[in-house]
Amino acid sequence: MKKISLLILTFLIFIMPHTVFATVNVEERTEDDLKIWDDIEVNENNLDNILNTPKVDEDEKIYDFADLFVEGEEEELFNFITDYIDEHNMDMVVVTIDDNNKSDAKEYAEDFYDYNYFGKGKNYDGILFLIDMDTREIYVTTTGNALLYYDDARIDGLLDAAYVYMTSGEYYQAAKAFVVRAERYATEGYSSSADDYYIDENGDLIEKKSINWLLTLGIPTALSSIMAYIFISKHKGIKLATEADEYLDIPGIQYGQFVDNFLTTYTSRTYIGSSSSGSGRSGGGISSSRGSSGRSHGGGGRRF
Amino acid sequence: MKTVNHKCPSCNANLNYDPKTKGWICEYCGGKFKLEDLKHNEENFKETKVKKTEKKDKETPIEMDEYQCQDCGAKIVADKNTAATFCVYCKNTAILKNRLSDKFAPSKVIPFTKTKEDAIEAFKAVGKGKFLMPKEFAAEKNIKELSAIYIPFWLYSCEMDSHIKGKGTRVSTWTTGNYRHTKTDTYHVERNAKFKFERIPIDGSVRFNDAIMNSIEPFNYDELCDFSPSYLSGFLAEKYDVESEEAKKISIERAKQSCYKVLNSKINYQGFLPELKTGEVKKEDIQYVLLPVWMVNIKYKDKLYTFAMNGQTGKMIGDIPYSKSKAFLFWILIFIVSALIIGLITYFV
Repeated sequence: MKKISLLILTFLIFIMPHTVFATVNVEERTEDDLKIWDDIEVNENNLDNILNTPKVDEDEKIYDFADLFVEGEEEELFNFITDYIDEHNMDMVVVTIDDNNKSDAKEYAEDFYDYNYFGKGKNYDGILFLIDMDTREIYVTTTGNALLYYDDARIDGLLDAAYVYMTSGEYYQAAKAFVVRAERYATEGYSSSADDYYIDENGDLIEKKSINWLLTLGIPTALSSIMAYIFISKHKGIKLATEADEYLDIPGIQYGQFVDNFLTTYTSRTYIGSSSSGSGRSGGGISSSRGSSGRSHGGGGRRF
Repeated sequence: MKTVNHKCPSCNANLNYDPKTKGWICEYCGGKFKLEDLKHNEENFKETKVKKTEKKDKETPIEMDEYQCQDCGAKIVADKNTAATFCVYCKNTAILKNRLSDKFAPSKVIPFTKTKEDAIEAFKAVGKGKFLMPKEFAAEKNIKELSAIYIPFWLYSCEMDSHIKGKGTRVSTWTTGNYRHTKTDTYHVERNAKFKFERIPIDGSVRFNDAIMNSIEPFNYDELCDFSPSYLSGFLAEKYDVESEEAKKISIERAKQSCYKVLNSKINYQGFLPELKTGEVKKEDIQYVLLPVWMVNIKYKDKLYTFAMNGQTGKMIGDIPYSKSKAFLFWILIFIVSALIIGLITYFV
């Protein structure tokens, strides 16, 4: 009996850290107390989204609903994340779920970020990484200034980094790879696409309008020169005749035998590279869309 | 040396050819005549012997001949190619008969149908649609000299056998896997045909620019009449100084180019490398004719411009100057308009 209770005790001690730390503290949300940022406009369309989004303690940063990480891992990850936040003044959140009550990973990720007190500065700058075990998708969503750091190419880079571990089930490594890669990008500064965009006072991504001077000056120079040449050449009326087409009796032409004898053939072969299907994303640029809260988000996901 | 003149059969006054009525009108008695009326008269021309003094002036290499005007007896000086001219004193037409006889006898002539007024109007209209032309260029006051000249032309007709030989290539490409294949088939190609050219006109006078004469082509040969010196009254005329052999060479070259063009159009290959091109004359004929041309000399801003009008069809040609400032403004305008459009497109797209 004693032996059995000891066994149970050691078993409990063994599993306790996992069960205790895996629990995420969730507060209650009610219609009267939604616990969201004041500037989010609540309407009948997004009320359900808000109520279905768990209200969490925004300082925890790691919300392991799917219970994928163990204690030591979470701590290590938490340290990475706080370093990132301090260094770059952008928020960073890692979420894992095994039950997605929204339509897809994208919606869950955006709602989770928007309906909790995440984000730095007036545009709620920050990045969120979601591992959705329900729809089997990893998703990265960016908000505010983070859109300028993480353009489409870098989002792909983040997904690449995490995806390698996702396929082999190393979820912690995946999350860590995401954080490390995100940190590296942020240290490198704005993405190469950032020059073409800016974030306006509402946190929306706006493409900078610019004139292509090479085309704007080059084409008209060529066009007006060609036009002037054509009109000026029409002024020249005196031309030496080189043929006698006008004096040729065309119906009177008697054709002889046409000869078309096949001589040789030659076939050459050129390597044109594999015609692999590229990803749907076009190179360069930043894509953004509006979440249910009305905020703009960048980001992207990948199924595993 | 003799000069011929055309006298009114009724009053013996001078008679000029009238392009409008295609006949001869006497300015004095108002009599109108047809060619047949004058033919008889022509036989009775008084032939005035004129002492021909070939002035071999060392300073002027141009050979000038002296003739005597039948009407006033004044001396008419004409260069060696002039066939019809005017007496500087009495303004009557002097036709230098020996310049129109024997080997210089034209077989046919197309009489003028366009008058001096037509030529002036045609010149005034050259600026039509040419908005880069200086505004004052096509003004009547710029016409320095206007002369109606029968210009000697050779009309060359021939049959030509033309042949083109060469290598033609057909190229097709397709893709399998990661490779693009390009297949080039080479063929030995030959095309030949018999061509017939009718009366290619070649300017028979060295003095007149060949390009100008080419540019007023074509003439309507339906209106070719048998030559009679009477057509020349009231006009200037030249005799040829380009020999028929020379004219043949030029015509054959032009004919060949037309043959090659036709044969090339029958070669339907993506690439063709000619190895042999021939044009062989089988049957030929050359005719000496006088064709009507209005020469219009323009002086504009101290520069001379030569315009010419086909005296039969009224086609007026010449190199029309363009105003540099107008061309620049035009350039700027197109530039600004297209830059605005393209600038806006690149800004918003």
